[in-house]
Amino acid sequence: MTTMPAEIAEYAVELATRLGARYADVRLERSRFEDIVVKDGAVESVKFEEESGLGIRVLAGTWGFASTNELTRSAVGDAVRAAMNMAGARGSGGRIELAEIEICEDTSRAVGKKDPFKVDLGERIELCLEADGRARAVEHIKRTSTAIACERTQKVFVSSEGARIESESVRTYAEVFALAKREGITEYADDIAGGTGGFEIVEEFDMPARAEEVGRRASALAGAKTLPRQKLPVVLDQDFVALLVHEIIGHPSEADRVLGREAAWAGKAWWAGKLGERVGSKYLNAVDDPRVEGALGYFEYDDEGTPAKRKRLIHNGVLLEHMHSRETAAAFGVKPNGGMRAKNFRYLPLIRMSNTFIEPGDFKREELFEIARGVYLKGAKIPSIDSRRYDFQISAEEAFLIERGELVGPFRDVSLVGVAPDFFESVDAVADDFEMRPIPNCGKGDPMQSLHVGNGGPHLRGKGLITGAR
Amino acid sequence: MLELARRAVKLAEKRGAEGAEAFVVESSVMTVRMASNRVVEVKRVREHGIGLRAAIGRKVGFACANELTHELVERAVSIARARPPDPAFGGFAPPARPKQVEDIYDKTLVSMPHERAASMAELMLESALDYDRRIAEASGALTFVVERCAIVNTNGLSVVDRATRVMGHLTAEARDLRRSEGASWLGATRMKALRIEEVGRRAAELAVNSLRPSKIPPGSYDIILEPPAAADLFYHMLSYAVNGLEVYDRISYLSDRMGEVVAADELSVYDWGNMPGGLCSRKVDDEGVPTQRTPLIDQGRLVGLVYDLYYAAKAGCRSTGNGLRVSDLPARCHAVEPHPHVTNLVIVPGDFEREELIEDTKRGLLLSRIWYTYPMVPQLGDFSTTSRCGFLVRDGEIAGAIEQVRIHENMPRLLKAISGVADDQQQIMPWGASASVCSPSLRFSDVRVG
Repeated sequence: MTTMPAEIAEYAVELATRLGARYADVRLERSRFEDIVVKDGAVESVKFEEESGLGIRVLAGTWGFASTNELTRSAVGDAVRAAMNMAGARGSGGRIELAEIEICEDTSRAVGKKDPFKVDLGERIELCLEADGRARAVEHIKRTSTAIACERTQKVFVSSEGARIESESVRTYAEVFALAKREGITEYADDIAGGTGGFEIVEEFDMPARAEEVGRRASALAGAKTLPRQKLPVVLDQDFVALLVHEIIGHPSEADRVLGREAAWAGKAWWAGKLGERVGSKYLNAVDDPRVEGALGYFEYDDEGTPAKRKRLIHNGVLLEHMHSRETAAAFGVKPNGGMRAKNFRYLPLIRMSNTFIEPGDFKREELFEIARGVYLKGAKIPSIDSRRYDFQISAEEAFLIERGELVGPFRDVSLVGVAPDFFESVDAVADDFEMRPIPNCGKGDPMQSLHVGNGGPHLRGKGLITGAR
Repeated sequence: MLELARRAVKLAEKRGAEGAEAFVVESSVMTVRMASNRVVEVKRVREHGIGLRAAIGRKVGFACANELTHELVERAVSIARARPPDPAFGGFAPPARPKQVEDIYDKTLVSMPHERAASMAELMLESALDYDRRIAEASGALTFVVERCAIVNTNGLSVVDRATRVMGHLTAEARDLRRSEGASWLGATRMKALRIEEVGRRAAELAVNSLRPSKIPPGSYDIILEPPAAADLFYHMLSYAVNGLEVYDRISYLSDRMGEVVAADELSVYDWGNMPGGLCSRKVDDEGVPTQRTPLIDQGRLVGLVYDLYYAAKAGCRSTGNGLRVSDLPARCHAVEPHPHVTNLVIVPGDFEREELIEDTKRGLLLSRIWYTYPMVPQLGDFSTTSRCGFLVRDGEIAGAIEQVRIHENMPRLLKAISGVADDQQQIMPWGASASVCSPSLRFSDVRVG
């Protein structure tokens, strides 16, 4: 990719300042995206996308924001004036304060080892076809799909406070899916790799082997029974923990939710006003850290130019910190911790997770299964969470009964139902087998912004209500 | 735009494409966001771009960018050259002369000033805050969309399309000893159809009526979903099930059910891509096929699915004009290939008045809003959702607000448990939706709650 015309970003900030902005920042971006989808042994889609554009955010009476994908002085000037008009459209709502940050001039680069765009397109297609074929060869498999995608983003951030940060990142994904049907029962399984890095992510994932494995899982599930509704100890694997953390720790830790500023759509946070209070057992430690190398939510600076920071959300069961923008940090009287991100230049940044996870504990994984009876939930499918992130139901890909330490199963269509504080309090063992997972499509905002984040954790054990198919 | 699309197709042919299709779009999305009783953001996304599909035999390459460049064309053609063929690719859309859809474009919305948009948002807030002194907070958003597109292909198709719409929602919070919330929606394709104050008043009324909720025991209840709640359920639990792609993939619980009775005979549903005044109406879909009214469920029987050209070819049927390029932005998007998607999902209203449904319910719940309705097991139609605003119905009367409940149910079972369809149809864009749902209040018998 060619270098970006950074002077257009500087021009936009200068113009906004000249027009009276109290504060202005610009994100100039260029990105390239390639995606291959194979389904049932045929290449369904091969896509190439390239785009560039600029988003300008200004603060006058309120926030004004405009974006354009035409990078001429004239179009950018129009966008700046539009943003200023919009910011000035309403000034009656009280003065917005921004907490101070370190003003940085820096560059960052996270592109991995092997440039995915330089891997021959035919080779990538062949790998998808090979993996798809391995899944299709498994008995009872009726549908398969595989995909490889890669994205390179170059960004220049310039603010009226003097920040200038240039960054380049590459993210690479691989996905395998299989669906089986046996005697009227349809079940599916999937697996995804994704992170900030290059084609090594695909190679380490070993798509053909993974595809065969998801085929086997789907096939076994289609021949499995479901479980009756019951309350008992549950052991959750890293995939399930990743989604659980995402939904009931990550989202309610967003300070805009905590302050009620997302009340209309996304909702609020049940633990608003509970900083410093106990929200779970002593085994519960949760963190948001943008600097987990290779994870999907990796970055060095957020979209306000705040340096990335590890946030200790829950420590030994006590709620310690939220994710902040400069504005919410000022409202809470704390230092900004780098929580603001936008999907791309088109959108105004929001408070988002980066890599949010439960920290590893001292238990060995095997110790979690040393119980008389329980359920082991593996893989996560779909969540339904209430608007305060209090009451949750999450379906697992597979369930196994734990009977005196032994696993019996699999069972299909099982989900965990609970309320967050009760479940957190019930956590009595956290293993040391930490892993990160990619969540490529976390949704928030109005208009919606689907964003890539990392979530993870180790195996953990708690107590909950599990329910089978209706 | 049309000229740009024609040039792209010609360039693709020059570079060796046997067939080509260009989709050129210009859009503007302005959103005024409200939180904590004030306007907190006014933002605008202005886009233009081109998506080009080039075909060599049954091999298709897709490339998209902001501008038409030689590199873009070369990319699309070189992908087509490099990839293996797809036997399911049946070509691009044939030429068509679609009729203009009534009431989907308003010049007033094209030139909507930011100040006026912000004033309208403030009016939404004020109408909620002035309703009752117990209304403590109001928040929401008002979004104005303008979109224009041109589609040209080597079959001789050459068409332009345009639409405008306004979508808004407001959530009001009431407080006395505890907190409660109510929400309301608006959607229109023309300025004249907007009823701004009604949105704030309705949200506030629901919030006040929801104060002092009671906890209800888990069990079986008849449930009446008001239009926003019914729209949420049908968008999240029916639209994927009638999607030709999901049916092909067997993720739909309606796979292999064509022609069968899948719902109570009170239920008829269709997709109406050229509905006058429809929030997601358009003259042609995003690959140039004229939109239409497609019956999906007729008096309880599954009679149709929505298709684009590709999945229609796989299924051996015709496109229903539902090949949409859906992205996060609520406007047509050049950067996505077409896939089947519902446009305006219409549930045919019945003869009951909403009040009659209530009067005829002995032990039930009236839910005004449900939240985070997702399929726990999509191929079975199992879903889970929570109420955000609901009331107890006892012996035909509303007997007070209820605390939040969780419903874990099965959509195929609920479709057959419909026991009343009201006449109060309302057009809603549910959260995260890329289609509108026109739904009346619906009653379901014996729903498992808690």
